[in-house]
Amino acid sequence: MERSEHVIRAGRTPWGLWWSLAAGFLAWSIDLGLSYVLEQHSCSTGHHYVLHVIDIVCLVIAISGFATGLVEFKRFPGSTSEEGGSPFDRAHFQALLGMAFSFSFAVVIVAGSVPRWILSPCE
Amino acid sequence: MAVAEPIIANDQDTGESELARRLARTWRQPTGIWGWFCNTHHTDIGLRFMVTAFIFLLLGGILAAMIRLQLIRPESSLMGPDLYNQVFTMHGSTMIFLFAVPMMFQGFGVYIVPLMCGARNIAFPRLNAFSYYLYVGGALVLWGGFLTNTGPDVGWFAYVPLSGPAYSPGHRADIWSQMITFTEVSALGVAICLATTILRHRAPGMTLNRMPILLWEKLVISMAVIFAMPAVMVASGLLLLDRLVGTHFFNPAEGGDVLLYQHLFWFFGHPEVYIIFLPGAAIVSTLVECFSRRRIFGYTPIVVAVVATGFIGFSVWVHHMFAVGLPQLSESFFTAASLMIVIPTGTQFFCWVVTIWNGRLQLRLPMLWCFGFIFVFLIGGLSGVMLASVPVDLQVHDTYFVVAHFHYVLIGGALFPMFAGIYFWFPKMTGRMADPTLGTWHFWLFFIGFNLTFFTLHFLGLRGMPRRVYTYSPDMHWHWLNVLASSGVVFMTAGLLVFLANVIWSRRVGEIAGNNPWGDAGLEWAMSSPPPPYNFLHIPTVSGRDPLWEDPPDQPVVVGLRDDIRETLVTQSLDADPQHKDEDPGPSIWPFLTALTVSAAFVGSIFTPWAVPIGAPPVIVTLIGWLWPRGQSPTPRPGGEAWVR
Repeated sequence: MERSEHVIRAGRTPWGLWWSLAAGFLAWSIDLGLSYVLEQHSCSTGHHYVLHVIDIVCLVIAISGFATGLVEFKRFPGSTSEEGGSPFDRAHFQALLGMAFSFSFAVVIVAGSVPRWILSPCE
Repeated sequence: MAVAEPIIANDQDTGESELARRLARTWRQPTGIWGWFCNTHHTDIGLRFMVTAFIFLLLGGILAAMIRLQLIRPESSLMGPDLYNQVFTMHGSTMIFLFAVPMMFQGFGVYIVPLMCGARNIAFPRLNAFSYYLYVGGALVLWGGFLTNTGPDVGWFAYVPLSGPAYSPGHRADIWSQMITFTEVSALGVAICLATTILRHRAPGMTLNRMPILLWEKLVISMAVIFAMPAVMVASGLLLLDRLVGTHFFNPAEGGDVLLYQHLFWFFGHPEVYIIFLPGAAIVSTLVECFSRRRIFGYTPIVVAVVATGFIGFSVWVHHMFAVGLPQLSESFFTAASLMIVIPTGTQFFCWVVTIWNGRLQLRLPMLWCFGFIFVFLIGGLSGVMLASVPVDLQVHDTYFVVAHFHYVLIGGALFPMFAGIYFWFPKMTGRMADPTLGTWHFWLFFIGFNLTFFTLHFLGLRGMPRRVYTYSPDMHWHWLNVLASSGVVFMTAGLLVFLANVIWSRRVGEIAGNNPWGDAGLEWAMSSPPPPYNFLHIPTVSGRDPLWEDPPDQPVVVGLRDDIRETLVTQSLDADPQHKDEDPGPSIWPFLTALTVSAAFVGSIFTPWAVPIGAPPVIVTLIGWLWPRGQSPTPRPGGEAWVR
């Protein structure tokens, strides 16, 4: 609690919360963009595993966002709420958003990975 | 002018009526024709956006009626192929660029957002006014071209090579390209104004977690506009260079790439769907809460859904290109993304239904339109899920099934919530209630006509009728379905006429509305209807997500803002704590003059590249006039500070 009070001040958000908010989007964007770009390379070189590696790395990024969000969330005082007016309450809300985004985009990454096991990049 | 310290407040010894009088004098807008062009207040500019966009809805609707009239029987000679190409291109371009975005994003946003934030004006009011004039400039260019038989005839997305110099000589495609530049610069300007207003002009206490859903949606849309619009401006700009200067960006014979155009266009084009739909969803969230008489169910999931929709909307554009021959695996990525976007949209639907289910529903006129939206958009969403699948998409590609789908999405996502929003905020805008009987007639006529026309188009598409054909052979047996589809236009037209009659009638003799006729919770209902030029006598503070429902009678207000100059309060973006005071720049003719010079340069560049160097100096002169320092504001009177009282 003491540490939270130290880092959460009016108008400020600790980096862990920012990471939690950004990680899901970032991971999914990287996954989609790199997979789309490297599909032809993967076919021409026969290195089909590249697409799976991208998936796994991006999944880890998204999960790390969820984990950091959860860690930050647990550090808030028990009295904080989703809609209170203090910086703690606002950060509490941000942590919820961060965890939801990270989890959702982790699911999207997993869903997007399914076709890679079924379809060949050369078709 | 930003000042480091809050300075003054000696209104405490004067009555509120005296304060209102002084504020009205300070914030009044100039009158007369000259004053009309100088006006920079958000309520006036917002209304202008809405009225202008509505005029283009009517014009686009007339074009749609012409299309349906042409197709009502086989081998019709009402229109030749050339005119028909212009008509369907103008219909699509008008509805998307001149109606849907300006109405749903710019019009409603500019009018409502500052009121919901508790601000006295929008941020950057001159940029806002400039954006309006530029939008009008783009609209005049497009329709001027059409009325002089130079209307674009290459479809609302103007694919190359059809729109390139080889297949589209003349200036029709150039006019389309420059209309894009006009309208997108306009949307970008408003996006900056709205995002800044939401982030820096919220009432103290309206922390990030207490922002109304509508503000969240407007913020997400503003960001989507800022990131999406440049892509289409690049596409249309490169197309113009290919046509005007002889570059080869999209010419494969010289190393160009036609698919690049499609990627650029749809990287804008799909987020555009959400730029149109999310404002509609924002209106529905607001209305569902108000008429269910309970707080919205699932505030946080809705915020997550809105932000996620904004992001995922950027990563589904390739589903518009499934038929161009991309690798199967690539298509599968975008199929997955396109299906995933159903989850956040479904989340919002779920939250609305639960709110209604658990509330005490008042089925007033705006709510009727919300139900229409939920029904229509749901059907559009379901056919969207079908089209996200590559095999289905390939079967119905470029048929009327796709036309039916996107009309369900766009009319469901824009027109139904738009009418809901107009009926809801009509009392705020005019001070009078719209007639509910006429409004109900309007709803049923439009709802029946819409479904008659567009549900039928699904079957026409499944029977193989392609889009953009100006006629068809009787042997295709599409005749009776086309008659049925065209008959719906009669109902929709009748509905729109009833609406116009309602607006004209109610504005003159409608029941007096009062401040908050619906008993809503938003700050926009905290002042008189229509709002005074200064919006709020005192900048309010809030202590919950639904201010007018939750705030105690002795809720503090901000005092100490000067009443002799247009002073506004700037707050922190996360916690809305007061940060400093700022001075609204006030009315000015320069945004209009700058829009004129920019328009002249844009129009000239349709014909010659020399328009850019020749047109630049007048633009620079008007910009200098716009930005010229006007000197210091009058010395602040000594006294109190701007604080929450």
